[in-house]
Amino acid sequence: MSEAGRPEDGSHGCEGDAAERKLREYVAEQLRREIAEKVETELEIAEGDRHAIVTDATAAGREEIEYTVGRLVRDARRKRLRSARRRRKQAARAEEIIRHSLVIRLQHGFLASSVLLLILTGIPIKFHETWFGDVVAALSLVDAMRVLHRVAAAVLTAVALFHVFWIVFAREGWSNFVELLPRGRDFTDVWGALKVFFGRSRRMPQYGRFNFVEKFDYWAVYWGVVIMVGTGLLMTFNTYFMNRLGPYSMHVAKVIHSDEALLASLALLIWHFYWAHFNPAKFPINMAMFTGRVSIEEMIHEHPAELAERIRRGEVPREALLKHPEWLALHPGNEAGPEGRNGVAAPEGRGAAPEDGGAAAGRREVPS
Amino acid sequence: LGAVAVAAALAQLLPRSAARAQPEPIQIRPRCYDCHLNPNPPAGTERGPYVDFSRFKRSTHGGHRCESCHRAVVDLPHARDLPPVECRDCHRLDNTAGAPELPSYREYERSVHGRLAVAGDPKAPRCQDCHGDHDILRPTDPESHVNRFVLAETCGKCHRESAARYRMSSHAKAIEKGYPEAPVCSDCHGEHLILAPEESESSISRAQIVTTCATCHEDITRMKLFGIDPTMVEAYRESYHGVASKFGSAATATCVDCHGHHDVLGPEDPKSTVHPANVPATCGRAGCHEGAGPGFARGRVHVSVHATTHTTDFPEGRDRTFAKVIRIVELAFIALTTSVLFSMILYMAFDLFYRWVRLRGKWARYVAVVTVPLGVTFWAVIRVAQVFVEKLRS
Repeated sequence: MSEAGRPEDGSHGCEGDAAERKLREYVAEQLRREIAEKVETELEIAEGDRHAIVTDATAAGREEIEYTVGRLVRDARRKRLRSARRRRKQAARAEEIIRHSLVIRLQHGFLASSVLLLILTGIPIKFHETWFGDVVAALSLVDAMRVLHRVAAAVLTAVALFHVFWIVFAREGWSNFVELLPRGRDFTDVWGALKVFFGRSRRMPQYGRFNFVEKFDYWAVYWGVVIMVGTGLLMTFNTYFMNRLGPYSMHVAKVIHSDEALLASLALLIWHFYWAHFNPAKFPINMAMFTGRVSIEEMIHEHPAELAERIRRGEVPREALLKHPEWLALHPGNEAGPEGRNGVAAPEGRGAAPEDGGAAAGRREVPS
Repeated sequence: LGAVAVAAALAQLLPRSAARAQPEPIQIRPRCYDCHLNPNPPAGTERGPYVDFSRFKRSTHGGHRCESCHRAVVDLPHARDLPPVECRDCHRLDNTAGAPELPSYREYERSVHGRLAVAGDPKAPRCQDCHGDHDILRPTDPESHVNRFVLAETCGKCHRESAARYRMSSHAKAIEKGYPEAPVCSDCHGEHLILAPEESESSISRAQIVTTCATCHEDITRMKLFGIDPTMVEAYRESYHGVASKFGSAATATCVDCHGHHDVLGPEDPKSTVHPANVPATCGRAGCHEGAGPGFARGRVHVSVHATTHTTDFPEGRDRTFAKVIRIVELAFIALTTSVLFSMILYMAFDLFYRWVRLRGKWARYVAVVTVPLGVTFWAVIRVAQVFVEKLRS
């Protein structure tokens, strides 16, 4: 293909006829447009086809055309990939439900950032004999740390107060709080999970909105915040409290504050991070608390009873369940008429539900 | 400083070589005590300052001749104004013969006293101002100027106010009673390397004062002599004040901020800053706990969590009960933390094991993806921090 181009290439330097060059550019432009059209319509251009076009072209325009064709093909490929990714994402979106509302996510965000800052500025004070303390002393960070610790503590206190008001006055807050109250089922669930771990049972407990791990996390934070904010206030307003309670109050407050801080930090960094991010199903990061979205797949594995409840209340769109016919059966949808969306699940749905999840879901959702 | 020292050394070499050039010593000429002891000096001379030769004979330098130190005297009668005696001529680090090789001279040159002397301040103290001139004795000798029991008088020749305040302190009272364990000036300020409190190297600076006080107040046997609780220093170090001062906070209280320094007194003395009646005023100083009331004196400030685990009888009474209560609170938390974490880790291990059974082939990948990078990251962070700290320390 290059024999045609070579001699002209050689004579290119000494020629320099303006009219000829203009003609070549015109031809090249025409070719480019033609190829672009082809690429746009067929999205791909056969390798031989491309070479034929290029061979026909004049030598001056060849490289340029090769380059243009390559770029067009690359762009088309990239565009295709992008749209495929978007489609996949949309498909995934369709199979997700919003498990954490914006209010919950914001509360969690403020709580998490303030607690992480408190740990960062507090733990070096507890371990002042170790190298943490040396770093703080060497960088003379102590005054900045004292300010940051108080700012973070103020944020934490504000979130805690908001949370209490939210529980008491918001319907969503109250219903979530009721779900978080410990029940007898949580203890049998621990036993059930242990039985599965040791091969005595094949079915994991069918957790509801919150399983016992999440309930434990919530009440640990609840107790932790009460203790930490209480002792922290005692030490922040030390003059006021020492005038009334004497110096002993400060000693006790300091011991409790520092020991509870260690307990809370370890529980957070080991236990909570394991369940949230570091366990094999979630590693490396679980975005549920940032986006609020949880896939139906995860819901089936982790909160089947909550999913059943949501289906019963008609919060889950039909499309989300298409890949899980056994769950679709719990949700008669359009065939059952308009009352199906928010009505009680059909009795045959219960029968069709498999052992995994369906039975427990059925147990919870059918009130009769 | 080095250049000055070299110049001084050169200046002293000159008269010495001059003395060597004249092999005939001053022995046969009029003796020193002709003028410095005899009220009627021989004709042609005048009466010099009185020197107690018998006392000089008893001093550590009693075996030396006058011209060993008074090197400027090469001929008698000598000139009226002689340069002061330089102890450094003999007491220097590289002197292989004779006088003890002492680093004290170097330390003195770095001290506030030595720096003033090098700068040429005529009021700056030289060796002989503290150690005495003709009556130099070992510090263990009761007649020495630098003996523990008289040191306050020696320092008080210049530092009158500080010495007067020190004499009111419980430290001075113990010295008066004859306890050599009680501190004198040099125990806190240093002997030759005396620095201003503003200098961070100084033993009485904010950064060092706790360590300085702790040398005695943490010593169980020494504190038993005086009936003082040795666990109080540890309690301070664990306290909010102690940690903040360790971290270099300028706002927090060190020992001397509450207890005073030269005129420090025990809490049982009504004049003490930490006597219950004075505690509100002491704690309530501007910038500290403004608005402090008598509630601040209701209970002891220095109670160590570990106080009752020590082998001392301190603290006593109500404080001991309280220290036990704190210890129980802490032990309860330790028990809670360990049991909770143990159960958590156990349950997590069960969960991981369960997932391992189901993951099968993916398990190795999980271990590789989770444990290795996390472990390496943690190790690297810790290592970098340690190296950083070591660099900062050196």
